[in-house]
Amino acid sequence: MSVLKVLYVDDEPDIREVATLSLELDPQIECRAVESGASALALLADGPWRPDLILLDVMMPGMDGPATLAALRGMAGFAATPVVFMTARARGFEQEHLLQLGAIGVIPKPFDPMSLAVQLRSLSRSWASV
Amino acid sequence: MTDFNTTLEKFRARFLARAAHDLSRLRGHQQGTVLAKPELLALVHHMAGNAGMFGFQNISVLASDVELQLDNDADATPTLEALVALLQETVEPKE
Repeated sequence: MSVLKVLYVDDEPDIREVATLSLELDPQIECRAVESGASALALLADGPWRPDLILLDVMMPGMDGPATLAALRGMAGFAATPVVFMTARARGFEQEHLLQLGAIGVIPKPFDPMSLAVQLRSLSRSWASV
Repeated sequence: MTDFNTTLEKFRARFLARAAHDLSRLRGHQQGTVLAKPELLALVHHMAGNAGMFGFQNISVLASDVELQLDNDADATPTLEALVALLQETVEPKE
């Protein structure tokens, strides 16, 4: 299995830590986590580390998930980087809206720490095969 | 995996400590130290996400309901009362 580099963006420190630990249950996932959309954009702009996939919390103070996605799409080199949203508000119409923004998937919160890595890999594989 | 479960326990304890603080703020809100709507929304939103994550699904559901009602400008008072009662049972269990 190839290494999957994941950038995780969430303002909640405890959830950020649990998600990172969950993803690292898969030894072939390399995860970096930051606390805001602005920090994510700064990390990407600085280079040279490039994620294969970005996992974005939806509701964050300041720049929320959708605003971060919009800014990301305007950055050179990240127009097509797959983004998965993570949200506590994952009702049908809300999920649909997030997918229409260009996300390849939506993972509801609370997530299952034991299967988060598998879910992400599956979304990544589906996206790559399209 | 045991390490991972131990870590989850640590977060669970941290959630309970924070819930006690949130309970105090919500009681204050009910008693007149009113939280502004964005502040209340942020509180219940974070509570909904964290509670569900760390094994307190019933708190998560009620906090989500309050959030939804606030978002829709509906009367959240009864649900908020239920949430406060549940938080109280959880963080201040009777002997």
